[in-house]
Amino acid sequence: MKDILKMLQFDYITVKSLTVRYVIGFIMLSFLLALFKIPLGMLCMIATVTLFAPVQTISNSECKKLYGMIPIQRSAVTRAMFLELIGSLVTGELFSYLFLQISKYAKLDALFPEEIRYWISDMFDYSSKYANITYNDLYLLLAVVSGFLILLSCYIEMRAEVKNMETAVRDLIIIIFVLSAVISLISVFVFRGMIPPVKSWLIPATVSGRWLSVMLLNLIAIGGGLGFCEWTVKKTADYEM
Amino acid sequence: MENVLEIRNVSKAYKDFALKNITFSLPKGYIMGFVGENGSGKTTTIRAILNMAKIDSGTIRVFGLDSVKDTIVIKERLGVVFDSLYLANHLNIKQIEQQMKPFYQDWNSEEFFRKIKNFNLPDDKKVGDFSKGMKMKLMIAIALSHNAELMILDEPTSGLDPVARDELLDILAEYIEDENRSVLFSTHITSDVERIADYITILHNGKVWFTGAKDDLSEKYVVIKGAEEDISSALREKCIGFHAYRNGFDALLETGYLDQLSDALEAEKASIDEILVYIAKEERHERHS
Repeated sequence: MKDILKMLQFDYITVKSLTVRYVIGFIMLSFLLALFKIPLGMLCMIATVTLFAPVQTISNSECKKLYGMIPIQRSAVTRAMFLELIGSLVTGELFSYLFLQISKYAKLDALFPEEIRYWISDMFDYSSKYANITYNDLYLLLAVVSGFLILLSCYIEMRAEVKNMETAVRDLIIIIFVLSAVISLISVFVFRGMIPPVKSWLIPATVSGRWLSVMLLNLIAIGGGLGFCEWTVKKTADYEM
Repeated sequence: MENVLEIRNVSKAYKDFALKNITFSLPKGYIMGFVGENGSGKTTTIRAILNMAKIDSGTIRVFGLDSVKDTIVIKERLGVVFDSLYLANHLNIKQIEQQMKPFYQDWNSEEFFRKIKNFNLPDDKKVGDFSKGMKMKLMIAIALSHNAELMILDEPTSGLDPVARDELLDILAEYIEDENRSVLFSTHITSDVERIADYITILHNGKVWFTGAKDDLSEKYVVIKGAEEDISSALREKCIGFHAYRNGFDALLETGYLDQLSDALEAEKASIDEILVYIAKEERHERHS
């Protein structure tokens, strides 16, 4: 554990002057807009996942040799890298919930002229009973997206470590292609009435049911991510640097 | 004499290259030059010492500890300088110090910044903008700041201008003034070895061709020159890298055979460079050219 903390500190210093300020800037902007009912903060995960991206690049370069020179176990390097990935995505997800919650109750949009206020309400008001998507739907959607991103990024990291970066990129392209095709197909079936809308058979009806789903989705994703991590540790234990 | 590094019968096979039964040792308090042509196995051996390459057979002991089982303890007491700086280029020296500090129990920040000052390194400039000489000095400063007892350097002087090379060798000579410290450095610039090494190990084609005191090497071989008809066929067989010209030949010969040499032939002390060249010629079978 001590070694993992050392690596987390090491990696934080690496990214501190690269990505941290931009991510903090995005979070502050999200907070500001949330006060005016604009939920830009939903995209916090996309921002936070970039936090440790430079470490992934460095770790898949020649710089990896450094880990063979300093007193650190390879397993600690790998575990720290996966924890950074999972941690940054979960942090982003929590910020997303926070800013959605703020924008739900914020009232500062009243300061805007009427046209802008209507536009904001038209675009981002998920409180109305006439809205297609409610805040409760969004929380669940965020958990699905976050869970998917955690699993995807951990899988890609595992492939990059166990095989190489080229294999990881190829896998990523295949996954995106297959996923797009499946979503398009389901959309067509739903549109033609061949299957009922996703909302009616997948989304729990009660608020507590939805929050339980959010937690379960996160636990499954984090568990899966840690599983990819341990598999990587096992497979790369005898690899040369 | 206590050995700080002991390598016994180490073998490691890759698809197109193999280390074969590497055996040598470095006594405490001395500098060993590790020489050989490109691809002879110097870097692979160093990577094996650092447990970065897994060996197929044999043992490597550093400070009397097993290089695989005790790799973390060993690296605490080891300073490593590779031919490149494997640190993030956008960081400055202060940030690098913050990164390295937690990994070493004996880390001394004051000593680190004193060395940085002594080496005239700017502490606010990105390390990626450093010259190669500056990068080498930074790696040495890191090694000196955690009181490394053994410094392992892989081609530290290649690509350096003569002034920077000289400076680096002076730093190593100063480092070794404490008799508890030792240095293993690989290079193909043999003049560096001639200048500061006490011991030498020559690697050729993945095998140890010579290991021992540097003075023993220079006493063991001579370069002989003369007309081909003046050398007996028996002695010719003993020659290493026999190279025939239109007007004569030259070759490397062990000094033990000098009593069989005819007076018509010249014999001169062999430099390390010449020894390496003759080993390579022997490999290319130039004796029949």
